Amino acid sequence: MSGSSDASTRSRRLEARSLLFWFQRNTIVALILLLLLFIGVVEVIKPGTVNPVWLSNTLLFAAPLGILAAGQTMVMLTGGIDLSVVSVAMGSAFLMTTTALKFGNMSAVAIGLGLGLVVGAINGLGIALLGVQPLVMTLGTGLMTQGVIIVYSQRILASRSIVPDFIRAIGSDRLGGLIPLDLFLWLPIAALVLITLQQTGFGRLLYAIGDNREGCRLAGVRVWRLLFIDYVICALLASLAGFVLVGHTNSSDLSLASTYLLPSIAAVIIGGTSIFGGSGGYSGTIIGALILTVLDGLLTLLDSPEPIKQILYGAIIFVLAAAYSRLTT
Amino acid sequence: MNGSAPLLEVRDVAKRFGAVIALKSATLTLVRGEIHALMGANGAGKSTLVKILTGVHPADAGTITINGATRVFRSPAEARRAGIVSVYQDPALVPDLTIGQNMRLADVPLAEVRSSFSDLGIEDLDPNALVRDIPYPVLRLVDLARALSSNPTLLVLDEITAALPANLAERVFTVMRSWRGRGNSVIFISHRMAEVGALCDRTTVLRDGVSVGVTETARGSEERIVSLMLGVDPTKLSPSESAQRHIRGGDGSRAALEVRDLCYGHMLKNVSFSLQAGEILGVAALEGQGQQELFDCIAGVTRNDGGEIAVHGQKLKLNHPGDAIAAGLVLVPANRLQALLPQRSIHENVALPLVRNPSNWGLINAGTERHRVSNAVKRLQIDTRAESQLRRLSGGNQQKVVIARWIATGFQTLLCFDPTRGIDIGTKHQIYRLLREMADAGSSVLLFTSELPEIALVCDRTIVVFGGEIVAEMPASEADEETLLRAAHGLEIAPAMGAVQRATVRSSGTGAIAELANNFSLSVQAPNQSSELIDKIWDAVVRYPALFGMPVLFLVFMMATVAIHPRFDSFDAQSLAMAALPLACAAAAQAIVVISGGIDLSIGSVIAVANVLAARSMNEASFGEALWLALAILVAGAAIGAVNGLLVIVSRVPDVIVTLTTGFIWGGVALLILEKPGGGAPPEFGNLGTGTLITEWLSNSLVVLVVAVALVWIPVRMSRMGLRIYATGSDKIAAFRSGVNVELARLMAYVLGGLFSAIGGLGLTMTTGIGSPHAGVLYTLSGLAAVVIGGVSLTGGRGGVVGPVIAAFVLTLIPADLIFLNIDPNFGQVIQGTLIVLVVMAGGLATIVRDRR
Repeated sequence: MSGSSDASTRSRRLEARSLLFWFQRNTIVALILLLLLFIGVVEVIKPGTVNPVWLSNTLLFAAPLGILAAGQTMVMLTGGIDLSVVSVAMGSAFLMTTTALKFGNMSAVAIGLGLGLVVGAINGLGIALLGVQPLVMTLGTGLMTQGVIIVYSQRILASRSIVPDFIRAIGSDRLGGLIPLDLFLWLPIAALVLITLQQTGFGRLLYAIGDNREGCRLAGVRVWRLLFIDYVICALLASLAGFVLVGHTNSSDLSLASTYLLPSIAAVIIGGTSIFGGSGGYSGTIIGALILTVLDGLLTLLDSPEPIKQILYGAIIFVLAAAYSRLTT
Repeated sequence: MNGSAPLLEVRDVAKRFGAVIALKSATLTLVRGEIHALMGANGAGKSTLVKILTGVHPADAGTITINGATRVFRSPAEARRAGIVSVYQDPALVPDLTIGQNMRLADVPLAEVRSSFSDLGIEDLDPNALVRDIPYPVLRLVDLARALSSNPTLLVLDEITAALPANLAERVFTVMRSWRGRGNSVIFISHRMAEVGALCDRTTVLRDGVSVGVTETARGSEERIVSLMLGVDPTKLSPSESAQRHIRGGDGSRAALEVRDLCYGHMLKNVSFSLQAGEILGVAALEGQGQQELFDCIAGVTRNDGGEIAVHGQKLKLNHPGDAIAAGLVLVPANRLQALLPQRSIHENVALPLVRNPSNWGLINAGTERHRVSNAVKRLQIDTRAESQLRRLSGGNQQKVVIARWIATGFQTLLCFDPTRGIDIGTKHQIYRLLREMADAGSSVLLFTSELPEIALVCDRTIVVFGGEIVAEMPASEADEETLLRAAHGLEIAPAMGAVQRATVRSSGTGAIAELANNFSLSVQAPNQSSELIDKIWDAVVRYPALFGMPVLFLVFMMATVAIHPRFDSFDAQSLAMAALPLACAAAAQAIVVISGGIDLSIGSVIAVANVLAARSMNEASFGEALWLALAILVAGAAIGAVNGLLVIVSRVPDVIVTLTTGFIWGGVALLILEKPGGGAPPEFGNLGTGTLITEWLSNSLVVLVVAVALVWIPVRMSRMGLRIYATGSDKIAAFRSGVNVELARLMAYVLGGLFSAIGGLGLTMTTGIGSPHAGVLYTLSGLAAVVIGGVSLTGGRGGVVGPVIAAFVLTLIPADLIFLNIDPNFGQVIQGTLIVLVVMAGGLATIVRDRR
């Protein structure tokens, strides 16, 4: 029937296919390889770059993105999206720095988080209860929040804003000169998110809602409650990310956060979470955030002009997303 | 019958879908000028045969001969060209277009269809009525009329009279007879014996994928047809397994489930029955007799209109499936994919209801859960080899997962809706055996199955539903297939067309449409005018905010502006127009893409590209050269739009992601062309934006905008391409089935989007005189805001360009007004965001209210 050459071609094809299957099932490994690849390219382009200090910097910069993308992951798993995260991050940070003097550090943090709570609740109201599309709802609340903060910022130009010491420490300092302190915020958050998604009923239901919302209803799940909580959590995580960013820059410059919107979504997509929801997870997002940070550094290293950087960035993310959709369908 | 040469000969056609054999050996012969009935129980293979005939599926075996020539159809279009047209149960009509537009879409001249309309008794159908407003029965007739207009030699009608009242059904028959008179033929699929007897010349009966006989249909042939539909199935459950069952008596009078006078719309009328613990009650019915609604009401999926449901004597209030589950009533739906999570594992699927309550949202007790799940899986003998993703399991295994879910959760009454549809024999036996075990252990089962012979073998008692009512009830010993078949066809109890006809209320309105509206409680033509007027206005406002809301909103803002700034002069009017131009173009671009069912997050960047291209190239140019350059830039904009569209279509990555990344790329391109704001344009070119025409009040920018919309959008909107774009956004599948190339339509939408973005960019160059690579940043999201506020639904298929353009003006007025009011213009963003939020929340609320009604 088939000659030996046929058999060997078939077995080779079978091998290739099973390798592909294995990658599909273990996308994390593929992602880590990709990350190492990019790191390798950095080293090749400028030998000696990759050293503990560089690693430490990378982690430092990746943390706020990682925290922001955590909330985004939880929302995208249900098939939604949150475009208001950067406004919330910026707003919470700003509120915190401007109320710290008057109310004390802890209260200031609470006030900052309060903004996240309010915006998340509004998002939840529209999306979970009224069935509005997440894209539009969060677009609106993002604009609203940004506007409110800008107006507020001009009112209090007179009074001073300070970045509380511990925030600055979290944003910029390193333990032993090497381990960024913001990791001590990111790691617990990461652990909590991972555990929630993988080990709790809540997490299970997020996946389930993204996969088949009607099926969840038939199984007796009151979906709106979960979605509401989900968007509130996302906003709170955005507030935390904002705190870290402000600690970074040690100023309450409002514009920094806006460059994080696309990366927060890209990290989730690259990390393997489908934009339609139902599959993926935060572990992939973590690697995705690291990849994007390394990529950013790589492009800076290439000393290419800003426009080229931007084009390459967009193109690479597109290619990764396209490769992903081919791989997972 | 005229002529004797067979028009159609189907010989031994077979077809399987994976493990499921839909057709084993189907044979059918049709001569010219014949109306031929195709009958058989659910799952006998009728739909599959029809789909093969009309080119939807290829046959695995057998031959189809038309007029002596063996044919194989690879697509419905091919079949249509050969003269075979089918009218399916699902009308291929786009909901957001009018009847007339749907006809245009499918290349059917309205005049031809209208004569069919009057033949079918729906001549009072307004061709300008939206499809989504028209009652479903009328839509089926429209579909029929459209099919007739293509002059088929063979017309296939699938349950065409299922939803029609008697008078309209009679019209259909008249049309069919006249069609036959012209030498054409009809295949008529129906469950209604009386209709078949009155209309058809011959009947072919299918049973389990095999043609079991053909009979001349004459008076008294019902018996023969019924006996053909029966038959000995050697693979049936053996008699020994159907040994007398002992029903564990309920504890006194408190039934496990009691239903009293249950009503739902026109589908369920005063249904009452009770179910004891340990009993399996069968429900026998043909398609669409109300059994679906019955199960849905008991399971809490829909809310019944009247009557009550009680468990152990306790009356239940079922607002949500969770309430039913809490009362022990669990549903196994016919379409298992409805209940299952395709991407998740078997384990997660089975364990789903275990985490439904907030008390279980915390950490999962893995050990307990695993125990419960594996018990259930073992009991059902689920093949766990494809454990990781549910969608890889076979249909039978998937069905077992649904049942396993409830075993793991615990229940009192299992509501099984056609659990063995499309499942192999072996699994069927397993499931039935399991049901009996569960009943023996004290649970109750309400079982609807379309496999009538199996009712007697599994159930203790059975009820028959026809026309939303229970027409018969009998113990298993009397529930042989023949009795059930007759009862299910309404033969013994009521005339076949009886139930729906009896419900007909003599209406006060004229025409068939009004009558249908009454029958089906739809508000197409409300008989009671006065209070309905307000409802109609409200409906119109909600549906077309652009028509009502936008001009009103704009007027409000204009008046507010003039009130705030009484010295609003022509200069201010010019400034307004100049400032609004780019945003209006962005809004138009986004609107077109959204209408086609997509989204474009790169519009701002494309505006920037056009802007800097113009500023850089026109810097030292003459006016004439500038005009040529402008033309080139317009082409470039369209090309960029094409690239966006192609990437979306080809890469199959969601358009949100694609345009988000390409936005980045085009932004980078803009930076490449011009690093910092600069460049210039000849003053005459600038004047095209900053100057005025005729009067000081009419800014050139406004003229440019109006000309752009008039020259680009209006012609497209009027054309067939515009129709296709709307159709694609409204219902891609219906559009495809109407013959639309949906990919091309989407591509065109992106091209037009790019074009308008380029106009916006050129407009910026005109009004500002320079190019700025960062200019576009705001326009993407603001343009989207204008689209939302302007009344265009993000789901596509509805709205226009005018609404968003006016909304763009409103959005531009806001910061201007704030400046006049000496309020911080940054409040503008707050107002903009709040407007979006309020508008979409109101829209969401309106939808909920409308669905409630």
